[in-house]
Amino acid sequence: MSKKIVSIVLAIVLVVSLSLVSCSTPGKSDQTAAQTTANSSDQKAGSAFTGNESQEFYMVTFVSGYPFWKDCYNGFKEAGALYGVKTVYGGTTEYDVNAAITALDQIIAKKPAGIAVTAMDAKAYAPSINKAIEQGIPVITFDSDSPMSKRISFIGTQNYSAGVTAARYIGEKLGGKGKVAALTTLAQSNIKERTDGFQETIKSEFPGIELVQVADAGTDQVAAATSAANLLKSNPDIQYLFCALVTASVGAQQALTEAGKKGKVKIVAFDTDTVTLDAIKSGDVDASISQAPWAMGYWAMNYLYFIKNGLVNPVDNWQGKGYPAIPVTADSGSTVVTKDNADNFYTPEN
Amino acid sequence: MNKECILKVEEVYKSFPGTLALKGVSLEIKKGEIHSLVGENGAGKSTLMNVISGVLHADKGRVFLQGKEVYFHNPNDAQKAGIGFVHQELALCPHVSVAENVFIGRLPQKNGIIDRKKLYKLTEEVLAPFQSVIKPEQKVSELSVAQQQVVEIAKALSLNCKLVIFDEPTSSLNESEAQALFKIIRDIKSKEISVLYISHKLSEIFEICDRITILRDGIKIATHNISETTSESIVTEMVGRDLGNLYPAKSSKKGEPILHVTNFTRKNKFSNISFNLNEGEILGLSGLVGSGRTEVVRAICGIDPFEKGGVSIRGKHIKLNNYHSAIQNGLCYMSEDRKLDGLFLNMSITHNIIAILLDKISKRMIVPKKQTIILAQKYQKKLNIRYADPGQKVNSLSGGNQQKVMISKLLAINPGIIIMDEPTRGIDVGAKSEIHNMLRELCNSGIGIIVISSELPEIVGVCDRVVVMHEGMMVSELTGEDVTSEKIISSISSTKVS
Amino acid sequence: MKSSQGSIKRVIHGIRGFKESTVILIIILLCTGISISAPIFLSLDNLKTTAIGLACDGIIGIGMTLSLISGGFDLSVGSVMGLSAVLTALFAGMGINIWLAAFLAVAISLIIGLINGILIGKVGLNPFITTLGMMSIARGGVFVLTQGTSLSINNADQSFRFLGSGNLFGIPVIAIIFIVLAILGDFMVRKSSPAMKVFYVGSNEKAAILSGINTGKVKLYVYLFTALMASLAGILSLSRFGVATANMGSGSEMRVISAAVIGGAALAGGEGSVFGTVLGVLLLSIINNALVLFNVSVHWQNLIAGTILILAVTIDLLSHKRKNK
Repeated sequence: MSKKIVSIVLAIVLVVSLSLVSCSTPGKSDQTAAQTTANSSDQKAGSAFTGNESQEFYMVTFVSGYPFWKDCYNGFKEAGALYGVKTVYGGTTEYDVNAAITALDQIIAKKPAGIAVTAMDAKAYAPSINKAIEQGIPVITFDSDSPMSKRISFIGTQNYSAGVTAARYIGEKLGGKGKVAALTTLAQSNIKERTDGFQETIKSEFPGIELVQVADAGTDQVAAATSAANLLKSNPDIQYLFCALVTASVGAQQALTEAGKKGKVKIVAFDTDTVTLDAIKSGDVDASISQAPWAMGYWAMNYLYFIKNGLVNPVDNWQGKGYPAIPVTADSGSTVVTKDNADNFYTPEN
Repeated sequence: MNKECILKVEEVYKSFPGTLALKGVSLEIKKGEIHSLVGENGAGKSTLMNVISGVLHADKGRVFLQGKEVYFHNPNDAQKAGIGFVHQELALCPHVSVAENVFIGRLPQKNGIIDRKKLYKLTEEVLAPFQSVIKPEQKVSELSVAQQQVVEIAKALSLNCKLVIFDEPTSSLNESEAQALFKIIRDIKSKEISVLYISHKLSEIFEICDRITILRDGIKIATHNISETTSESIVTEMVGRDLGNLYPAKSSKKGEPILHVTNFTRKNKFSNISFNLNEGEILGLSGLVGSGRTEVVRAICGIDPFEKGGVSIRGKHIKLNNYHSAIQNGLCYMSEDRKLDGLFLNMSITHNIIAILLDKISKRMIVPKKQTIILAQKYQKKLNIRYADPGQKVNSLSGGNQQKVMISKLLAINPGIIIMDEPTRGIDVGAKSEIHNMLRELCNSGIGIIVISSELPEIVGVCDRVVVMHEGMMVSELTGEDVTSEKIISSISSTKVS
Repeated sequence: MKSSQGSIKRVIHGIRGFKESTVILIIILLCTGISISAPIFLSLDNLKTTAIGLACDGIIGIGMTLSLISGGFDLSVGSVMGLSAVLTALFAGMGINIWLAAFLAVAISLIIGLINGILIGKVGLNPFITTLGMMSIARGGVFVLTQGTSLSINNADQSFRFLGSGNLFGIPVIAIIFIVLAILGDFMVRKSSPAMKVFYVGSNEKAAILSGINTGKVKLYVYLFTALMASLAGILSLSRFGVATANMGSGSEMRVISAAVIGGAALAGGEGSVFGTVLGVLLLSIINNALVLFNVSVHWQNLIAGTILILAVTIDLLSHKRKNK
C-alpha cells in the first residue's frame, strides 16, 4: 500500500512541477522593459506603441535548437518589446513533420494574436496555416515558405539567389577556373534551393569551374565531418567547398584540420552564428553568406502586429476584398560576410 | 565434553507480510562441529540462514557469536565478524579471474595500482589446502561448477571465518566431486572451524554431519546427534507425519514394449544406445553427470540432432524431424532445469500448464479462459499443488510446486511416454515422495515412464529396471533384484578408464 | 456467502492487479492538473489536434508491442513508415490508382518485415543490429526515391485523403481508425493463441522450444506484423498531409518503445499489452501538449519531457515490484 501512495505522490509532484516550471522558464513570454521604453521615448506614434499586453504572438520553428532560429527570434522579440506585447518561441526540437505540425496545431488551438512560422514542408503545412487564417489568426511565413497556403506574407532569403551569390563569390575568387565541391542536406527544401542556385550558377556562369561532387552532410556536424573527409579523400585538389548549412561548415572545418588541408581548401559557409563568425576571423572559413535572420523575425512581428491591431486599413475588409496592402513576399536579402565586415554581424548577447 | 559454543541463536522471530517465517527458533552450533539444518521448503531454513548471515534482521530474538551478542546490519558485518557463506547459486563474477573474486573488495595495491603479483601469490596460498588445479589467473567462467565452488569456499575461508554456512552445496556436483567437497569440509572441521550444512540429501548428512536440527513451519522441532537417530525418524519429524515407506511399491509386471530405441549415435556425445521401455515398468537411466543421458534422450525426442538411430512407438517406426513430431506421437521430455527451459517463470500457472496444449485447446485461435482454469484446477487437485490463485505467477511458488506445474504441463497433453530428467531436483522430501507416488500411478495407468536421475537412492527406490550409461555408452542393464546402488556403481567403475 | 462486500473486494483486487492502473492514474492526474492551469487543454480543437498527432505513433505501437513481447524490438518502424508513404506517393505519381498504390506499398513493406523476421527468427541474428540496419536501408531508400524533395499526391483520387484528414461525426477519421486497430490489436494480444505463443517465446525461448513451439516461425510473424502496422501508419500519414516527406517517421521508434515500456512492456520480453502501449503514447502526447500549453520554452522541452519520462517509468517500476512480491 505504501508504494502505491508513493506513486500517487510522485504523480502529483509531476503535475505541480510542470506548472511551476512554466512559471519560471525564461522563454515563457518576453516582455522586456516594455512599458518603460514605450512610455518614455516612443510616444510619437501614439497608441501604436502601447500595445495590449495580453496579446501573444508565436514564432513556430522546427529543430528549434538551431542557432539560426535564435537570431530570428531575437528580431521577433525586439519588435514585440517595442509594442509591449508577449512573444513566445514555440515549435518542436525534432526534425519530424508530424511533431512540427502537431505543435503548430496546438498553438493555433490556443488562438494566439498572430503566428510567424517557418514551413519544414510547404505542402504539408498548408492545411494548418489555412485553418489559422480561417479562424482569423494572421500568419506570416519566414525563411521557408508555404506559397500554396493562405499565409499573408513571406519574408525570407531567396535561398536560390543566396546560392547564386555564393557561386559568384567563389567564381570571382577563382578567376573562373578551378575545382569546387558542395556539402548540403537532402531533406530540406530551402537548403536544396541554395544548392540548386549554386550548382546552376556555376554551370551557366563559370564553365571553367568544375563542380566535382555534391555530398550529403547528414544529420549533424559529426556526420558532416565524415562526409567532408570522404569528399576530400576522393577529390584532394578542390579549392573551394561550399557548405549550404551550418552543420556542414562546422563538420567541414573539422575534417579539413584533420586532413591537414586547412588553408589549402577554402570554405564558403552559410549563416552568421558566432562559431562561423569566429571561424571567419581566424581564417578557418573564407566567407559566409548571411541571410537576414534578425530582419526576418523583426519584420514578421511588425507585420503581424499591424495586421492584428487593424493598423493596416486602406479600405474596410481589405483582406476579404483582396486589396493589396502588404507585400506578398519580401526578400530579406543576403550578403557575403568576410574578415573585413565580420565584426558587424555578431548578435549582442540578450 | 561440552565444547565451546561458537554461534547461539536465541528465540528468533521473523515475519514477512502474510507469514510468520520463524517462530522463536533457537539454535546452538559448537566449535568445530558440522551441524546440519533440515526442513521442507517453507520451513524457515533460508530465513534463518539469512538472519545469521546478516541479509535479514530478526524481529525479535538475539544472536551470539562466541558468547558476545552481535547485531548485523548487513552481510558485510557478518562477514567481518567471521561468518562465511557458500551459496547454492554461486556468488562469483564469471568474467573476472579467480584471484580477483577471492579478494574482491580488498585487492592488494601498490601506489594505487593493483599489485597482481602479490594478488596471485596470496590466492595460491589460499587455494593450496584444496590441492586443486585451479590457477589464480583463470577466469571463473572457465571453471567447472565444482571448481567454482572451491573458489567460493576458499574465498570464505580466506576471510578467517569461524563459521561457514553451506547451502545445498552438492546440488550441481557429481559423486566424486561431492566426495572431494566432503574432504574439504572435514579439513575445515579439523581447523576447529564450524560448519552449518543445509541440504535435502539425508544420505550426505548422515555421512559427514555431527548433529542435525529439524525445522518445520518456522519452529525448531528437535536437535539430535547423528549417531543417535535414523533418516526415517528425521523425515517423520520434517514432514510431521509418517511417510511410511520412502518409495512406493515397485511392479513386477512386464508388459509389451511401448518404446523401442535402436543404435542412437552422435559423435562425441553417445554411441550405439539401444533399449526398450515396457508397459507397466519405470525405466531408469543412471550414470554420472556428463555421461550423455540427457543428450540421448533429447535426441530421441527430436530436440537435438543425432547421426544414427531409430525410434518406434508401440511397433510403429517414427520419423523425428523435430520435437513437435515427437509430441504428436505422444512422446515428451521434461527438462532437468525448470528455471532454464522448463517453465515460463513470469507467466501464470494456467499459462504454463497449457503451453504445449495450446493449439489443441484453442477454438478458432482464441484461448478459452474458463477451460484453461478448469484444467489448472484439475491438476492442482491431482498433484496437490499449493497455490492461492491460478493466475499467480509461477516464480512465486516454491520449488516443489514449480516442479509439479512443470509435470502438469506434460500431463496435460495426455502423453503416451514421458521422459523425466531429474524430476525431483531441488525439492524437499515431502514433495519428492508425492512425485514418486505419482510416477508409479501414471505408470500403472499405462503411461510409459523413463526417469533420469543422478541420485542413486532415487533410481534404486523408484525404478523397476535401470540402464547405466558412462561416457556416452551403455555399460549395463539391471533388472529386479539387481537394481542396487552397489551394482550401479560397480558397473560404472569397472569401465572407468583412469 | 458472497455478499456485496465480497464483490467490491473483487473489483478492487481486479483494479489493483490491473497492470496499467498506475499509468491510468498518472494520466488522469496530469489531465486534471493541466485542465486547471490551462483550461484550453479541454477545448475541442486542442483535443482533436492531440488525438490526430498521436494516431500514427499509436498504430506503430500496436505492432511494436508484439515485437517487445517476443523479446526483441523493431527499430526500423520509422523508416518503414516513411518508405510506405513515399512508395504510395511515387506509384500514384506514375498514374497508378492511389488505393492500389497504397496496397503495393504495404506489400513492399511486408517484404522488409519478412527480411527482418527471417534474419531474427530463422537465422538468429540480434534484433537490435538487424532492425537498425534495416532502418538505415529503408531510410536510405526513401532519400534515393525522393531525392530530398517531398512527393505530393495532388493528382490522385482525393477520396483517399478522407482517411487521414476527414471527420466522421466530428471525430477525426484517423483517430477512429487508430482506436479500432487498437481495440482489435489489444483483443488479439490478450486472447488469441498465436499471440500467446509470442508471450511464451519472449518469456523463455528455450522452454518454448521444449513446448513444441516453432519459435522461428513465431518471430517471423511478429516482425511481419510490426512492419504491417508501420506501413499503415505511413499510408495514413500520407493521407493526412497529402505529401510524403523524406524524414517522415524518423524518431518514432524510440518514442514508441518508450511508450510501450511505460505501458508495461518489458524490454526483456514476455510481458506487455496493446492497451498499455496506447496509454504510454497518450501520456507522452499529453506531456508534449502540456509543454506547449504552458509556453515552456522549446529549449526546455527535451529536458522536461525526459525527466517526466524517467519519473513515469520509475513510478511504473515501483508498482510492478510491489505486485511481484
